[in-house]
Amino acid sequence: MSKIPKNLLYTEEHEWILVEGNRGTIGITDHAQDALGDVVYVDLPKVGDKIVKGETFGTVESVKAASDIYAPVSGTVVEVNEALKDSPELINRSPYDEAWMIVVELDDESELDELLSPEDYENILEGE
Amino acid sequence: MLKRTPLYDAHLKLKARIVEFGGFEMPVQYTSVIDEHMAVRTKAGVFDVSHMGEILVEGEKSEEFLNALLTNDVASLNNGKVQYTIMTYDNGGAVDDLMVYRMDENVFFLVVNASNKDKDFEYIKNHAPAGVKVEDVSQDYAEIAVQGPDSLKFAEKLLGPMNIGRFCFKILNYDGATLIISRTGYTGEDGLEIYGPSEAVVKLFYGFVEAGITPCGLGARDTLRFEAGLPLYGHELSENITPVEAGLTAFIKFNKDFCGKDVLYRQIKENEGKRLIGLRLKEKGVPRQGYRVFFGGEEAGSVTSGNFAPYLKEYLAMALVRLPKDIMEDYVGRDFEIEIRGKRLKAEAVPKNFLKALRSKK
Repeated sequence: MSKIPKNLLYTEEHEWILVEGNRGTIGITDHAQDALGDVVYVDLPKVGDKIVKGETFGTVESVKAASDIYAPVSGTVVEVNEALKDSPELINRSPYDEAWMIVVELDDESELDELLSPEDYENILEGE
Repeated sequence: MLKRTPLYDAHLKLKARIVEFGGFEMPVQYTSVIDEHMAVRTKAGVFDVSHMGEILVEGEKSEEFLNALLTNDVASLNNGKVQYTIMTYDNGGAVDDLMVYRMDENVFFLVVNASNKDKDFEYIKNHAPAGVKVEDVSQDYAEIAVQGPDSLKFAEKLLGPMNIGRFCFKILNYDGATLIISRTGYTGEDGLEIYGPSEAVVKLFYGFVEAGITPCGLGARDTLRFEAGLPLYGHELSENITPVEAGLTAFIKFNKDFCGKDVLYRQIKENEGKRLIGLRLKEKGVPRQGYRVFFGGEEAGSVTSGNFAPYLKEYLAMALVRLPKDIMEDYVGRDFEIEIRGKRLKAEAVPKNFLKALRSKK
């Protein structure tokens, strides 16, 4: 059973977001990294880039396949986890901690209402 | 209906992730493709390859017959030896690539790709003259491969002294069953391929796992063969890609007649057709089959296989390209570009046997 921390919000496409004030830290879930297999490459936006809720903002590639990453919210990128460029395997090892991907300044906090609670996300995984 | 190998239950017990391949439900990985890959490069790994097809060809004119279908020279193959070869159409395209075991003067054991087995069997049978018997014996054989620098040491613990030279095989009794064991493989490492009846092969597979060999899935089998620069049918070889284009000229013998000989000869003499080259990305990105390749700003061809090579820690590709004739023999070191998800990334041509070429630089 994959890990689903209680302090995060989730998307159906298996991203998570940790909200602190008007900032959100974004990554992909334990389930997502497990399904992908060994991650060997990550493409992320730059500081200052805009991301739009529901649209792709990056790519994760494993030895088996490439997968898009979707923005859980709209906002402006204020931090990028540069460590992932040289150590993409962190995504497999520590999806919720060391392998955070970007921090964004939220455009519209009401978008958070549309995200999945940990319980909702768990139900989705069980249905898969 | 998908087929299962005799080791299917073993895969479930070992918590493998199962995928469809060549009409079979096969393990793609047990823990991690990269961990399994590294186990084979540094110690040993064991693979279920029972999906591979086995075809028996026997009869007085078998040698002559096979020599007319295959590019390598069966006449030079002694009893107890194994030969890599390509079966070609009249246009030089590949029906399949395969291993030929000479069991006896007039008995040959052919090991072919799972997804090509039925096509191969029909092709061989339809060409066979009277007196040559062609039989699909795939159902009678399970197969495992033990690969890696420690593989022979492990095998000797279970099976006794091996004393098998490279590309040789021997017949061995194990647990009341007859096994064919060859010093061959598809990983770029030393190792063995073992054929036999289900029960004995399953027992041997568990024996290897209990002895500490890492079970490896098809994911690692693909990254290992890719990193070693070995061709995979459907990628580097196909009905439309000849063995000359695939860089397999060492396995073509022109001292005899065979299907497509003229085309292949001309491709070599006149530098015709495309060529398979190795590419090392100078920037990060994962090339995949079908991605476009550029030389001198012009589209030159496409990637046939690409990935991150886990042991060499490089992003690499094999690509089939049309090159200016004057550099066809001299492309290593030249600059290419691979278009990856809309961006052209810089790459350098390298020898396509990546492992041999780049291992010493590690």
